[in-house]
Amino acid sequence: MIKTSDVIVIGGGLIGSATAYYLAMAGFSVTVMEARGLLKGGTASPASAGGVRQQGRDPAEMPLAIYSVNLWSSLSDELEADLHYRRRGLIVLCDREDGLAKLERRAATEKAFGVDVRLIGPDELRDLAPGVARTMLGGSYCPTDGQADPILTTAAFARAAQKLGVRYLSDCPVENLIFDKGRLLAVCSSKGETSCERAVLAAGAWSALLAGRAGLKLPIEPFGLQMMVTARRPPQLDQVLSWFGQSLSLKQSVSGGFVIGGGWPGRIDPATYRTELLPGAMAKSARLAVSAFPSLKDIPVVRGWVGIEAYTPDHLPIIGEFPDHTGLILAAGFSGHGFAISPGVGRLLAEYFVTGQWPRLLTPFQPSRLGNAYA
Amino acid sequence: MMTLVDPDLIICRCEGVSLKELRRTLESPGIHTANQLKKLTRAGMGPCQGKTCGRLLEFILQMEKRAPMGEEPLQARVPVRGAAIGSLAGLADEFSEPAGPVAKTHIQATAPSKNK
Amino acid sequence: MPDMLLPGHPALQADKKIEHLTIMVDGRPVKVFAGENLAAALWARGFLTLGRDPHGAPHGFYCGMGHCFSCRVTLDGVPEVRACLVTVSEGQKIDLGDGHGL
Repeated sequence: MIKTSDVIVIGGGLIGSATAYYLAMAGFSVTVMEARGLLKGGTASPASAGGVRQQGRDPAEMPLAIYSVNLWSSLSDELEADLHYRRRGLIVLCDREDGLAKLERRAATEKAFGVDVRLIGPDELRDLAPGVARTMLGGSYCPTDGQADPILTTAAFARAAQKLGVRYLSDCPVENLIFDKGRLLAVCSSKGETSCERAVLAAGAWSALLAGRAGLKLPIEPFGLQMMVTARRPPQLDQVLSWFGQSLSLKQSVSGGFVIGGGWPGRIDPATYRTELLPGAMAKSARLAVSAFPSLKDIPVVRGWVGIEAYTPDHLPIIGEFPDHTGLILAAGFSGHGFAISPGVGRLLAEYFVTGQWPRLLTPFQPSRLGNAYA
Repeated sequence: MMTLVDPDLIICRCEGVSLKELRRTLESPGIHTANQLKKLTRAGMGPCQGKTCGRLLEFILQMEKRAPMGEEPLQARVPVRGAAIGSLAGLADEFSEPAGPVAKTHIQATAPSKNK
Repeated sequence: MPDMLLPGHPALQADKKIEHLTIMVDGRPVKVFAGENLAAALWARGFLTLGRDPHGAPHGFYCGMGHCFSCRVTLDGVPEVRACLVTVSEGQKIDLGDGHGL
């Protein structure tokens, strides 16, 4: 029997650890129940590409992304850990005239939200990122976008949370959730039954299985996203690059390796947390990378990896409570782009626990948007 | 036996990770695999991708009573040896799988049903 | 004759003609012999440190069999080449320390 806490956070990854941290900052006693161990592998948290961006997001996420980018600027200091956060901008490259027109319209929408974004032509592109292929006509550029290290960030939130007294329990899989008259009563884990009135379910792709046992059918589907990294090279790219209309994300990490992603699939087995790289995905991803940044040609890829991500039907996270299951707050289904907004999500959830008012920035993610079954 | 070993001993030669640093990482709870040590210290992430230090990480975990050797070795991944991006790119057309990036294939597979 | 090279050895054929080649190491010409292993050639001519790890510690010839990557150099613009797996040839351009010198 575990001593009770104000809140139990189910899942010790990035979202779970960040939420636990901000809850502890707000004065709550928190227990994190992590099924396996910090950064054990296969899950989404360590596998993220590490982009911290406002551009290219669904308009529903824009205010949350802007709020989060503001938090990122002092996050390393706050967590007392180097997160390798670099704010040197993100360029969405474009090699087609019709693409540029679409980008311009998109940038206008983003600007209306308050994002510092503008279209750039070939000359400014060469100045900003000289290594980009000459075939690129320009793109959209946001100087406040950037990158950070997902492993360092997850570990930093977990450690900072523990320093504030959060109990981070490893090898503690949650097996069931007990509800009584539609209210959360207890959490059943490998360590026994813990009475609990409020829990945050941040178990990524595994949230659906657990919720299902409590009679809650979540539209969350696991999907494998594949990444690659090259050998360390001297610094030659400041910005994060993506390619409008193509699946490429490219950045040079602080350690010097080029991190290549962009939404290519890998093989996954959520039951065993095992993942497998698809050489075809590596090859096709590599082809895009070389087309966009030719000097990558001779650099060896040293490693690839796959993260098990959680996708929802509209590719937006599901954050909120469900009818007949009050006391349980879901925060999952980030559909491959939860990294940048993780500080914002954690902090706003803590705010909700304090004020009882659902934060405006989290309103678009409530379950009711998914249909009558969740209203 | 571990007390006889100099804590400044470099375990991962490629990334310069010392025994001291690995021990410090083991102070966090729930760390009992080489892959976790790798993620948290970069040991095994250098050019040789753990060929030199991989077994040493397992050995340290065994000596520090976290896990017996061989239980969960450093995960082996393709490419077995560094493959230049250009040569990988040149192979792209030889693969029929995957059909495309996730966003496109996924949207086709699960078109959202508006009202259940 | 560089100090570290054996001038003669029972295994070497006395009648074998030595062919001299020139390679460039960090922009400087270095005389080597045809057939020399690149890692050995560099070591014999005093290039013991071939690079530095992320903390600044030196690395160089170690396993000699293409396993450890300690002997990695940039060869003709291609990074991360294991010198112990390369035979010297005329005009090779070797850059030490990740291509930016040590």
